[in-house]
Amino acid sequence: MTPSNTTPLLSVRNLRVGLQTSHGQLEALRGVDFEMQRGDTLGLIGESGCGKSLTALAIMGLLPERATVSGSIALNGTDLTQLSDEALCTLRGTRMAMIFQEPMTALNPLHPIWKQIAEPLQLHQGMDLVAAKARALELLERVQLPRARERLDNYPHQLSGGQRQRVMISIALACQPDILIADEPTTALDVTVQKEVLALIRQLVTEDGMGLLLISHDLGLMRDQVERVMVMYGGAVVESAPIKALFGMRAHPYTQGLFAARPKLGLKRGTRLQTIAGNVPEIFNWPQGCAFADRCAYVQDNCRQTVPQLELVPDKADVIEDKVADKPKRVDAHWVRCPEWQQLEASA
Amino acid sequence: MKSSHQVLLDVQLVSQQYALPKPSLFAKAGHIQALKDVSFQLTAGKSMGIVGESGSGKSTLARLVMALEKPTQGKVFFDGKDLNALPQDQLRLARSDFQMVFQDPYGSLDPRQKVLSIVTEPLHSTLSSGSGQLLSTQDLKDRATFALTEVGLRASDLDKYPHEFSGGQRQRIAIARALITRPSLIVADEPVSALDVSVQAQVLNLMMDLQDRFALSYLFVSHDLAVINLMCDDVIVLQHGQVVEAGSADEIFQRPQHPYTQALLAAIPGLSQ
Repeated sequence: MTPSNTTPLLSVRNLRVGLQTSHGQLEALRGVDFEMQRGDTLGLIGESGCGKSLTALAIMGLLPERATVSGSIALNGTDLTQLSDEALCTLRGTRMAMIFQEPMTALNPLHPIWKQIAEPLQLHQGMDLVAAKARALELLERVQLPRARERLDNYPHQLSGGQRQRVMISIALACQPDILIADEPTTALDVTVQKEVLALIRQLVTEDGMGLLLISHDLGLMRDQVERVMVMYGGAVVESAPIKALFGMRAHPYTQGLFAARPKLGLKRGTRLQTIAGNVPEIFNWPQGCAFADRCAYVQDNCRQTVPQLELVPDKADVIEDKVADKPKRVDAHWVRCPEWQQLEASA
Repeated sequence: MKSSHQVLLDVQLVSQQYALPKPSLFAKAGHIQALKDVSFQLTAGKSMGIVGESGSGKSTLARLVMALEKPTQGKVFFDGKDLNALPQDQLRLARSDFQMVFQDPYGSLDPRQKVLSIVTEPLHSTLSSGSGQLLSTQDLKDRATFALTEVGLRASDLDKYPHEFSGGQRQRIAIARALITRPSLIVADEPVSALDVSVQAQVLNLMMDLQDRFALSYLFVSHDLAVINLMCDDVIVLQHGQVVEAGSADEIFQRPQHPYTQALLAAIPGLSQ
């Protein structure tokens, strides 16, 4: 395959990941499909254990040992699952980069921050130390770290949480990657700091025309940050839609439950929240069919047996013609993995 | 149960200072002012929310109310008693009337104890010591069973260990442990922020149900304004250890006066549209 205009930046096809657990080898991702172009912003939302982070780690080639991967992950047409560790290492940091949730544990406490920013520059771009340090300063200024020059020699513990996350971002951006994966980048931060850091990520992504894969459990945050969102549950994508379409209409019972369970400002004191019965199942208890079957009010016998197919939700205004391929653009559509969604919509 | 309109908790001008480590042997140790002149009153059966960012003094205030620390200045009256003036043994007895639920249900339950001993532990310290009466094993079990069913768990769960439960169930166990002494006040420090959205709603509903049933008061610490809005009658907003705004939840969330409160509200994601 040669990269051309139509080759997506990132194409994930039927991605399945098996993990070694105390209950044996279990499938933790059960077929994830999506595509991204440069400049796309895609959100992955779901509760803990649904496979959001695992998807990110699989793309980055950072899965735990003895994990098995099937399906394909193509970056600019190159299948990452077929690459050697060495080849993958040169892509990591240069073409794709990741920001983690907790900047204190992701940064090395024993090195001043400039050295940590300089590391990918020396490794991937062969810069010498002096040039790398100068570039580190530029990067810190770009992520708007106040008094960047004085802070070059600071250690992570001398910075606040928000400042550390800015350093993490500057490391991720050092080699100008094509895709930035941000896994709960602001969960550990206060709301006002979160707002600043998210605005920074959005600004940098737009300036560089990167693809952004944002992982979060926060629906409100997704609404502000991404154009398109995939809802994950039990290792599979249960609904995928442009963020505006999803806020307009939720087709999957899980997505509906997730929206309804969220306390919203302005609710009357003491209002009982709508809940989803039961708990998020542990991986060794996942039903054979739809992972949500045990908690779903609309469950059918079939749901328990086989994983439902993706169905297209015809959104009135959102079928956008793709000029190149002259067919409805798949990535702009609203998909749901539930055979009952029409009945659900009718009853709502 | 306390009669209505009675002041259950009266915090009067409390300040808390912590000493910083000395920068060198002969240097003077610095201080951090964690709280400065904080006052509020909580009526029996009502809930008070404490809002602020990390480092604003929320948890320090919770610890002072729980009499886990003595304030450098000011007084904390619970049910008319000055907690810091009580002798140790009486304070221990008084503790049965105010209990705490912590943020992390993974860290706050002893992994080596069964649910039965976790849930009944507050009874040992508050009942047996003062009056000398020891509860029989059967009494303990009955009380634990009652507390567990109140929070939606089963009697058969008493013989299990914490690792056998999910995060939401663990938080229910922590609430059962707080309930078992029949307190009038529960101090909840970020009780749902470690939980998933769908489970968070269950626990919040449970806490509201329990409040209705037992006329509990909550002192609810959270960074999530929507949760505070739902759970609390009154709110105080802390910044750098000082109260910058206080009032009814409706007032504060609909017409925030202080720029800091306004900034907090404006920073909630997803509200821009």
